[in-house]
Amino acid sequence: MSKTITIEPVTRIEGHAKITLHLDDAGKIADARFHVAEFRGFEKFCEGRPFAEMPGLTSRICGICPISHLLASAKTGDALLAVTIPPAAAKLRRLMNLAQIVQSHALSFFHLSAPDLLLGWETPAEKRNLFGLIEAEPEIARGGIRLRQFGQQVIEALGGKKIHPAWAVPGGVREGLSKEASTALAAELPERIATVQTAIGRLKRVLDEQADEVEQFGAFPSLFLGLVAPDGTWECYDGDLRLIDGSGTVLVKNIDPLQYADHFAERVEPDSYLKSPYYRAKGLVDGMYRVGPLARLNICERMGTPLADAEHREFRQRGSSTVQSSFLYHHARLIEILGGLERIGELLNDPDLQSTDLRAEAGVNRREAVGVSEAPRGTLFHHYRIGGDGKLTYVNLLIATGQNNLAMNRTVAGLARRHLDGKTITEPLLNRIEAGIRAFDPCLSCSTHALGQMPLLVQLVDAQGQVVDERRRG
Amino acid sequence: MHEPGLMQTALPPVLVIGVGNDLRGDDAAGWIVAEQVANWNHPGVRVLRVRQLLPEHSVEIAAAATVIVVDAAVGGSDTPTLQSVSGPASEALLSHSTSPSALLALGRLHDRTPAIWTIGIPAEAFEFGASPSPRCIAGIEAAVRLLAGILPVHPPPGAAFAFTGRNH
Repeated sequence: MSKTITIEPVTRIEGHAKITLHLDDAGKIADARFHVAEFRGFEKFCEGRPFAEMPGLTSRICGICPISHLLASAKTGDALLAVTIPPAAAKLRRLMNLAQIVQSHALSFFHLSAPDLLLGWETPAEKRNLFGLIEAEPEIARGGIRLRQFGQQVIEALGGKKIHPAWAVPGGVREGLSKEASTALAAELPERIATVQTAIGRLKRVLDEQADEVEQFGAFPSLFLGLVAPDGTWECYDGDLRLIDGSGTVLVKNIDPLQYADHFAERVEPDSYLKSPYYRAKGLVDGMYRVGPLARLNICERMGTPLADAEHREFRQRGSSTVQSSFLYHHARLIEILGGLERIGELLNDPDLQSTDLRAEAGVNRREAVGVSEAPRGTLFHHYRIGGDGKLTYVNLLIATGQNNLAMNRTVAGLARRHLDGKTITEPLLNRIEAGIRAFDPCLSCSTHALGQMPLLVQLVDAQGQVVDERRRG
Repeated sequence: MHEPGLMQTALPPVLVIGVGNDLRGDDAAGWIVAEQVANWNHPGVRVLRVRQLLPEHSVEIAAAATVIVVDAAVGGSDTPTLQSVSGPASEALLSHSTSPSALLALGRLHDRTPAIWTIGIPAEAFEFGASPSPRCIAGIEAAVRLLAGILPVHPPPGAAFAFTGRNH
């Protein structure tokens, strides 16, 4: 008898979701699907708006990664103006992007994932949270809070506020960073770097203790997409868009963002507001690709800073040609925090941050453009078409979490096959499946850009379509 | 009516946190109160206006001797009072919201135990773009009078505070 087991909501991710496990008649996992029940609609209601408004509008898609949309949108605007922004503006944008990565990754690891990873999946739910972490590992918990705060302080110093700063605009940025602010922020770095190094050490113990779990956790060959500097160094703001396969072979390099639709298709899912992008040339199944920290660290040859380089070299030894276990997203995330902090330190010493040459002025010179940057969760595309009056006629947002949709489904299916016998839904099983999703750090506010929320419901449905069990949360 | 011992314990720095959303009717209450306190410009009183309490605010909370969190409260009393927050946090900590009791626990994480108080402003309407309701406005004005009476602000604020609308 086929059954459907639904787990919702997935706790401790941004936004709300449900997971449906489809069993075959033998009670084995046939498929797993990650549904997003939030509808946002930005792609539609932004039509008719002036393109210059889009950084401000689209940053409001999300309160966790508004900077990602701010920068991708500003880059799209740069392309519509056909300008090259001043070098100082590029450095400032890069600084803000790195701060965003630091604070978002800190939230993901220390607040959302560390309770599972460091306290253990068998820990009762009432203890497996940040308070439990504070009790068991106060130094890590304390450091994690301050680490996220640091990233937000950099964003606030640049943009005037921590969330939704009105700062990056088509053509450049509004303001630079004072020397005093740079010095004050730089003074925080040694302690923040120590925090992430402690966390990396602590996570490595978990990786060693749970080596078998790690090796099988969402581990499958996939393609990987991300930005990288032309010389192969880790890059999150600009650079070349590159697609590699599981063996590390470059399939497509220097992808022109404007031609992204030639390479990537999006399948609209009938039961979710989250679309499923895939690489056209290999089709829906083999064209599945992953983005985000795991992808970026597989694509790049080095991080470009000493501490992160050392960690990156060790990280790459955890795979053959590429690191394939989705569990290791957590490890990659911490390495990106480390590299981000080192890069922030370099930038804070650059006198260009105090420059007043921050804007390139121009009128509309193109009617269509695509801006790409690396959000914490992966590659983000903003595609706009405008009329002669500069008002938008078409908007498409290709979101990081959506690009990981197929991989998340496959991860959940694999975990369910390993831990579910189709008869007993245990708490540790549910926790592992949720952890499988959480490894990707999905941000559902972005992924659906829609409006409203649906109520969440767990249903167990038999082959005849009858609801045999039901749980309601919230 | 305020707790009689507050003045003795309200050693600087005092942190007043207004929580809410100034775009949603009565949810602006905490912000409006905090804005007024900020206008007093007293060096011993620090003011934050936040959309929601987050774990990161625990750092600033831990740096204060006394913390007063002002927020809209559905079903709140028409006469706002100071309520003490104490005891362990019992709820899970979410990334999108943190209660004052949770922040108390987070403050202890930073090896500090500030005195945390809350003021709840009666709230009943939260429409987008709307001004606060008359009942909420009365509560805001009462809360401002309450804080003017207990915070170490010298000289005291001038004319009694009367809400005259907001400029967005």
